[in-house]
Amino acid sequence: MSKFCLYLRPFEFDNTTSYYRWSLGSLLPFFTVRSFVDIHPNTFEEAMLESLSPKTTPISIGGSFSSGGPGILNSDTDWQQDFLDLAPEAIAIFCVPYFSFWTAWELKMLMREKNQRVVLINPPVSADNSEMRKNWEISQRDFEEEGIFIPDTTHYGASYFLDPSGRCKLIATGHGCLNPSKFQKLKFLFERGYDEASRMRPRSGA
Amino acid sequence: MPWLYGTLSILFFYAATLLNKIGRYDEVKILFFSVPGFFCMLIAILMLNLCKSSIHNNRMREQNKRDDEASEILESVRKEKHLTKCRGPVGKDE
Repeated sequence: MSKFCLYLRPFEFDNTTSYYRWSLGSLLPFFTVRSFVDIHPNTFEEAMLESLSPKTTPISIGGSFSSGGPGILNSDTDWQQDFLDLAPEAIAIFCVPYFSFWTAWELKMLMREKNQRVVLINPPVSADNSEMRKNWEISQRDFEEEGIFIPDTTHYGASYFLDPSGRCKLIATGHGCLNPSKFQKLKFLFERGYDEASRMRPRSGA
Repeated sequence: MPWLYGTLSILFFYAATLLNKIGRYDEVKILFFSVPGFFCMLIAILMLNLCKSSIHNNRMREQNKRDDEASEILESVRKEKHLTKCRGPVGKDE
């Protein structure tokens, strides 16, 4: 069986929501020209696919169809069973902590199973994006009631391990926070598992 | 989009014929001098759209491949789970 990682995608998915966009910061003018023919990653899913697909096969459960994302299992009826089957075998489980009842259910399920390969992503957004900040704060509050403690948002972007107690440990910050060839910790997670990866100190980078 | 280009071209030639009929030859000249520019722009837009649609088609093809791969992985995980259930945990009795 080939290596794969799981992406927990919300069912009410909207690619245009700022929550899922992937800002390229100072490189924006150059990439805006490129975006005319849709080449660069401009959503979280495209960035994830670009960073992870050389190492693993990203699979997502739920949500509507969009081109340029990970492989999607369109199983509206038995997605919970799909999730329970795939989660223990995935080498990493990615999620943008945008609060919904089912995202909370999935994360709580993973915490109960003591799954230590859960990676929460704060996608980089432009500094003046108040909509993203507001949504993040609302989600932070809602998740806290469920016993999951999400860190404050940063517009540089960041990735965190979610441990079974509901706390987050920083993996990396910056635009490349999902890139295993840039961050040893992610590389270790893919090659040697969580234990060795979690012992490393977090590093930041653009 | 093609219907828009088509309508624009027809309107363009209709205007030229009309101006020619009512003897406004200067305006006809201006109109016809702009024809090469108009067609260059038209061709450029058409080419760009072709490029965009071919990139989009490629992406859709890759996406379908990834979706198939995702279903295959799910199938193999289920099969393995079923086998483990039938056999019991490996090495426990040995």
